[in-house]
Amino acid sequence: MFKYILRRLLIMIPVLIGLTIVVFLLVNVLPGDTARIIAGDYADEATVQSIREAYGLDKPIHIQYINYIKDLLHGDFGRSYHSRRDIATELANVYPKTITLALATEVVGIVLGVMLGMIAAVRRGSLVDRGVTAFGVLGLSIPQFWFALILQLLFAVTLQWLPPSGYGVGFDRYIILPALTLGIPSAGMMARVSRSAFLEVLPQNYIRTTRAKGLQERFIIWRHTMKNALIPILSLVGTDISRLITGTMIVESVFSWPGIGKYGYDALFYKDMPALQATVLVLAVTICGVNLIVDILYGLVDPRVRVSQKGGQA
Amino acid sequence: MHIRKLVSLLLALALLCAPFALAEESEEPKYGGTLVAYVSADPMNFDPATLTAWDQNIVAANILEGLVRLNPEGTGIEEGIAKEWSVSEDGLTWTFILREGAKFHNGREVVAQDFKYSFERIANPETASSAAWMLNKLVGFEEFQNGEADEITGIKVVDDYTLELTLVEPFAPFISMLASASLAVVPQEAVEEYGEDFGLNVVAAGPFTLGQWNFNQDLTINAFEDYWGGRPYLDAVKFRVINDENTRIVEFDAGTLDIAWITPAHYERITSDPTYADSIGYAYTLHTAFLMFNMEQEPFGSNKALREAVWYALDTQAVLELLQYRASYADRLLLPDMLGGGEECTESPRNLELAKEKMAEAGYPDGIDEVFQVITPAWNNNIKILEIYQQNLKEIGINIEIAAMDNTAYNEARDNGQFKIAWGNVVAAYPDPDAMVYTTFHSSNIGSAGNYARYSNPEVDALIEQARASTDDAERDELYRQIDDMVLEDLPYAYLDHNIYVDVCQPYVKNYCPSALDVTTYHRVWLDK
Amino acid sequence: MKKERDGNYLPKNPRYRKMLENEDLGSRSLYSDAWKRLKKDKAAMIGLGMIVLFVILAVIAPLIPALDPEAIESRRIVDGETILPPYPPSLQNIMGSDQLGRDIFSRVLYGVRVSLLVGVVARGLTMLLGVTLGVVSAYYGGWVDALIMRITDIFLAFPVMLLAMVITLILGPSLMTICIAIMLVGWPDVARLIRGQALKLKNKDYVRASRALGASGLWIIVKQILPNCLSLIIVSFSMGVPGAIMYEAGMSFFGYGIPAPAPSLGNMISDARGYMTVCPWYILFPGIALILIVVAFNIFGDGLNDALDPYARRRS
Repeated sequence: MFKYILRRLLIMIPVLIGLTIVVFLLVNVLPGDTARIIAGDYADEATVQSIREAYGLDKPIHIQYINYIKDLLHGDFGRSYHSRRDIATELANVYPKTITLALATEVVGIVLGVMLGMIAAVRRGSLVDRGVTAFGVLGLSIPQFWFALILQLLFAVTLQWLPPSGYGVGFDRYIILPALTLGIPSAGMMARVSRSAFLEVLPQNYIRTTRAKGLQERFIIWRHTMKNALIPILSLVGTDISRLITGTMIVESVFSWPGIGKYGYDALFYKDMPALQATVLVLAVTICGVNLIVDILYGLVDPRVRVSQKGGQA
Repeated sequence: MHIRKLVSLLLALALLCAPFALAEESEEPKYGGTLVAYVSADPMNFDPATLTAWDQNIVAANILEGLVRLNPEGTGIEEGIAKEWSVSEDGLTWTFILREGAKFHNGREVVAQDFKYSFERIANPETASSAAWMLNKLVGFEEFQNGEADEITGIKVVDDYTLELTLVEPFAPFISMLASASLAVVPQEAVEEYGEDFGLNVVAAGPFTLGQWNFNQDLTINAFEDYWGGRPYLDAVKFRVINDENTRIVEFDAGTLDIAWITPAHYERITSDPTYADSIGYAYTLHTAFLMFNMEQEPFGSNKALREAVWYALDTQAVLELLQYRASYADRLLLPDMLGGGEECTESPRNLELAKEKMAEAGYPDGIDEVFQVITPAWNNNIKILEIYQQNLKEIGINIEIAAMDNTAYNEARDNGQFKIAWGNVVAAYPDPDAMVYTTFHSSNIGSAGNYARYSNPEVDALIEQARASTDDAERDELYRQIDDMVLEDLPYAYLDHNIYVDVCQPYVKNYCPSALDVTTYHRVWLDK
Repeated sequence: MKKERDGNYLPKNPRYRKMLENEDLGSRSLYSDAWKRLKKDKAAMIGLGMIVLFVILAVIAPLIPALDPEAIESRRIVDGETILPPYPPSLQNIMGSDQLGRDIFSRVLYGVRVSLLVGVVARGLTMLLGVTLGVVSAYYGGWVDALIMRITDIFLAFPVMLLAMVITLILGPSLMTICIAIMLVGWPDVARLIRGQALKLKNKDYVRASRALGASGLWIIVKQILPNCLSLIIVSFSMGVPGAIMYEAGMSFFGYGIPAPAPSLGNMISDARGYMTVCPWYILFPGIALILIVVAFNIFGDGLNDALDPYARRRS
C-alpha cells in the first residue's frame, strides 16, 4: 500500500511540472500588457517601464518561467500583482473556506442522496421511486447560477429566513444557502447512483438469508447493503469533491463567499498572473490529492482493487 | 496669489450640488455606532504607492491624508495636514504651512520631513508606484528617477511646519493632484518596520485607523481619536465585500447594509418610498461617456458631416430612461458645474431629419455598406446602451456591431486605435477640468494616455498648454470653455452622458454624501439611532 | 485502389472472420435492437420528443417575423399611461419583456437555438479530439500513449471553469471560442474512455490477425476499432451535450460566453439578475427553458445508454 501511494505521488510530479508550464504559457498569452495593468489607467510610459523592470517582465519568457519555478521550489508563490500581498498567505486564508463549503455540501449530498436512493431502492417501482428518479435527473439538470439566484430570491428576499450573502465562521447560517445550492444537485446524483447500487446488492442471496433469519429489515439494509453499495457511492463522492472544490466559483460569487473560487475569478479579472498561477496549482494539487485518497479508500473497501494494485506493482 | 480663493471657488461649485447632497445641518450630530458600507472586492492593500483600484481608494480616502484632501462631495479640495498654502507670482513655487499637532496613527506628530520622505518614496523607481507621474513636474524629479540624484531638489523642508515644492513650469492642477490618496503622508519608521506588508498594516494620518480585516470578507476602520480635526462621529465603518450590485440592494432591504447604490431596477421603488425621502444622495461624477471616432481612419476621420450625422441620430433620452436618469445629457466634455463648463444640457441632441441631411451631405444618402465594429468594455449596461444606439444608427443607414470585450482587451484595442468608432469615457483623476481636457484633447496624449480619438489640433494644444500654466481661475474658466467649443467644432467625440451616482442609505444615516470622484469620506457621517 | 488492398488484408481464417461478425458491436442488428429497446423506454422517448420540439422551435423561430429578439421598445402606452420596460407578461409578450422592451419569448427561443448549437457543436468537437487521441493512444501505445495520457492528466487536474475562462480571454468571445473552450475542458475524459475500449479491442484476435497480416494502423483504427467503439461514442456524445449546454450558459452568465447582443439563456439570466426581486418572470422563463433542454438531453442520454448496452440490467 505504501509503495502504491509513493508511486502515485511520483506520477504527480511530471503532471504538476507540465501543469505549471501550461498555466504559465496560457497566462502569458492573455491579452494586455501586464506592466500597464499593474500601473493602472493614469500612469505614464516611464512609470510603466520602471514597473516592467521591477517585476522582471522585460526578461524573455523562459527566464521568467525559470525564475517562477525557482521561487515555487522555495515554497514562494510570490506576491500578487494586484494586491501586492503574499499569495501563500492569501490562499491559506481563502482555501479552507472553500473546503468548509465543499464539506457542508457533501454532507447535504450524501445524507439526502443516499437516504433517497435507499428509499427508492427499497420501494422500487413505487411513486416515491419515480419521484427520486425525477429528482436525480433534475439535480443533474439545474444550472447552478440560476438555482443560486432562485434560492436567494426565495429564502433571503421573499421569506427573509436566511442572510442573502456573506460569510460566517464555520458552519454558520451563512453557509446554508450556498451549501444547498451545491448540495441539492449533488444529492440528485448521489440518489441516482446509490439507488442503482442498492438495487444491485439488495436481491442478493445473503441478504435474503439474513432476512430469513428474522432480522429487522432496516437493520439488514444498514448492516449488509451499505458496505457493498459503498464503492460506487465512494467513487462519486471523490469526483464530486473535486468538482466542488474547483467548481464553487459561481456559488461563491453569488453569495459573496470568500473562498478560492472567488479568489481565482478575481485574479483572472485583474490579470493577476502570479495569483492565478498559484490558484490553479493549488486546485490541481487538490484534485490529484482527492483522486489519490479515493483510490486508497477504494482499496480499503474493496479487496479486489487491493489485489490488482499489488499486481500493478509487480 | 492665495490658493484658498480657488478652494472657496471650488467649494462654491460644490454648493451648487448641495441641494442634492444630504444636508442635515439642523440636527446635533451624535457620536458612536458602526456604519456598514460595502466594497466590491477586497481592497487588498493600503500602501499609498500601490493604490489603483476603486475599492482601495474608497477606503483609503478615510485612512490616508496628505497636504490637502478631497471635499466630501468630491468636487474640489479642502485643507488637510496643510492648513494654508500659497503659490509664488511665477506660479512655480508652492509653500505649504502644516498644522501643528497633526498626528500619525502611531502617535508621532507629522512634520514636513515626512512629506519629503513620502513623496520621494512614491517617485523612487524601486517602489514602482503607479502614482509617480503625479510628481513629474517637480524640479529634480527626472534626476532622482534616473538615479543621478538621491533626492528631489524641488521638495524643500524649510522647517518642521513649512514645506516648499518647486515645479519646472507653472501647473495649476497640481494642488488638486496633491489630494490624491497616493500622495498621502506616511511615517518612515512604520514603512521600514513592515516592509512589503506595510499596505496591510498601514499607519497614516487620516481620520480613521485600520482595524479588523477579514480578507475577502469584510474590513473595519476605527475612529482615530487624535485626528487633527477631532475624532469622527462614527466609532467605526465596516466595509463588507459584496461584488454584485443586486446583492447589495437585497442586503440593503434586509437591513444588513447601510448604504447601497441604486440599480435601475429598483430606482422607482426606492425613490418613491417615503422612508427614504431624505436618504437618497446624488453625485454628478466628473465623468463623460462618448462615442469616439478614429480621426486617423476613414470614413469618419475626414468626414465631419458623417460624424455629425452619427451624433444627431443617437437617442440619448431612451438611454437615460433605461438608466433611470442616473446619468445626465452631455453636449460637451466638461460638466456644467466645473471650471470651464457650459450651460446645462437638458435634452438629447437627437434630430433624425438633420442626421439624414448630414448623411446626404457626407456623401452617403443611402447609408454605408460597411459594418462597423464598435468596441466597448463588456459591462452590462454598456451593451444595453449600445443596443439602443445600434437601432438608432440603423435608421440613418449606418450598421454597427457591438464588440464587447474584456477590459484589458478593450483598453489595448482602444489605445492602439484599432477601431473606427468606439465607445469610450473619461473619468477625472483629480477634481480639475485639466484632468479631462488635457488627457482627452491634447495631441501628446494620443493613445493610452487618454486621447483615444487620436485627435490633433495645434490650436487646441496651444490653448490647453496656456490653461495649464495659468493660475488665474477666471482666465482658466474662459480658456477651458473656449477649448471645449473648438473641439465641438471638429467633433472627434460624440458626447453621450455624464454619470450620476445615486446612493440610498438607511434613514438613520445622517450627513452621508456620495462623492463625484467616488471616494466617499465618512468622518462627517453620523448615525441617529 | 487502397480499398482493394485493404480488402485483401482481411483475416483469411474463417473463424476470425466469424468472430469479427459476432463481436462487431456496430452491426446493424445491434442498432435496430437498441432502437427497439429505446422505443419501449417511456422516459427516453419523452426526452427525444422534447429535443425534437426544441429543434423545430429553434429552426422555425427566425421564419416568424413577429418573433424579433432584438426589437427594442423603449416606451409603451397602456391604458393611456406611458410605462417603461420591463413590461409584465401580456398578450403582446407572453413571457414579458426585458429592460429594453424586447420580447422575452422570442429571446428564449433564440437562446434555445444557441444552446442547441453549442451543445451539439462543442460536444462534437470534444468527441472528435477525444476519440482521435484516445484511439491513437491505445493503438500505438508506448511513448505516444504515455505522452497523451500525461496530457490528459494535466488537463484533468485543471479547474475547468477557470481554464475555460482563460481560453475565452485569449481567443476573444464568440460562439466558436466557447465551443473550443468546452472542447479543451472535456476531451480528456472522452480520450480515456475510448482508450479503454480500444485497448480491449486491440487485443482481440481479429485485430491481432489483421496486424499480423500487415494491415496498416490507420486501416485497423478506422475499420476495426472505431466501428466497435461507436455505441460508446454515441452514448458519450449524448451524455455530454447537457454538460456543454450548461457550460455555455454558466460562462455567458459571467460574461465569458456568447458576446452579449446575441441572446443566450445564460446572458438573459445574467441580465435578469438585477430585476429578480422586481419582476421575477424575467429570470424564471430563461431558467426553465434551460432546465427543460438539459433534462431532455439527460433522460434521452440515459435511455440511449441503457439501450445500447446489451448487458445493462433493466433497472426500472
